[in-house]
Amino acid sequence: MKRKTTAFAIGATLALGIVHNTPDAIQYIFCESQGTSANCQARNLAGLVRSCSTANPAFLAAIHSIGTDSFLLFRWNAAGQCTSVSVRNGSLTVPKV
Amino acid sequence: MSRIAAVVIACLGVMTTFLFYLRIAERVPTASNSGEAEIIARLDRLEKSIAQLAAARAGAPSATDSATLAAPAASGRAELDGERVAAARAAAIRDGNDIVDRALGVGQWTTDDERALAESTGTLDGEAVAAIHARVAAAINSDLLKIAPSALRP
Repeated sequence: MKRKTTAFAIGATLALGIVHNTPDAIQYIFCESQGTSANCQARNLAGLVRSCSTANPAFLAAIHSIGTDSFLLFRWNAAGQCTSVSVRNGSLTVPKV
Repeated sequence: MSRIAAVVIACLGVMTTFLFYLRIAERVPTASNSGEAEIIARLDRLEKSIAQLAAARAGAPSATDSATLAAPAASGRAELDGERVAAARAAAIRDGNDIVDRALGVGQWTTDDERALAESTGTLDGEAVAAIHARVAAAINSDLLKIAPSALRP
């Protein structure tokens, strides 16, 4: 079984549910930081990909706090900009296997 | 006796008049001296004005008033540096957008595109980089751009 980061990505009009411990190799979620900018991207089981980019310092700080067991949520707009990035580091998410 | 006194008084009068004349002459400049100083001062001012005008037209600092003209010269250099930085930034943004445009033409975002974009936008500020990446994201979200499997590898 392939372990993945505990994660959910919910868009403005669409929900992509991606949890860790998923057996498939289709779903994923990540944020990639270039320091002063970052991109977040997720793909659901149906293969639908959603992505956003940001240079918002608050979002960058959240992204830089992502760990391997973080709960991650990001939203985007039609221009491809992140409208929110939320990271939870805690014990309330799906237990690690 | 009275004759001697009259001569002495006359001599004293002449000396007093002479001394008085000397004192006046020392205190007040003559008309010719005053005019000459004024003309020299005017010529100095005129010379400075001409030098400043010439320097301003030539775009070079004047030796006569270097302190006044040093600041404009320095700001000119800063302006030139600023223009170069702005031109480099505009070129990097153009290159980045060209990469996105080419990918949109193909309909696929590859590892090479990702690498090329990172290289071309390496000197840009976060806002500019995010704006270009947002174009990629918007195209992905609109299903105009498919991500090549290789592009997902870190």
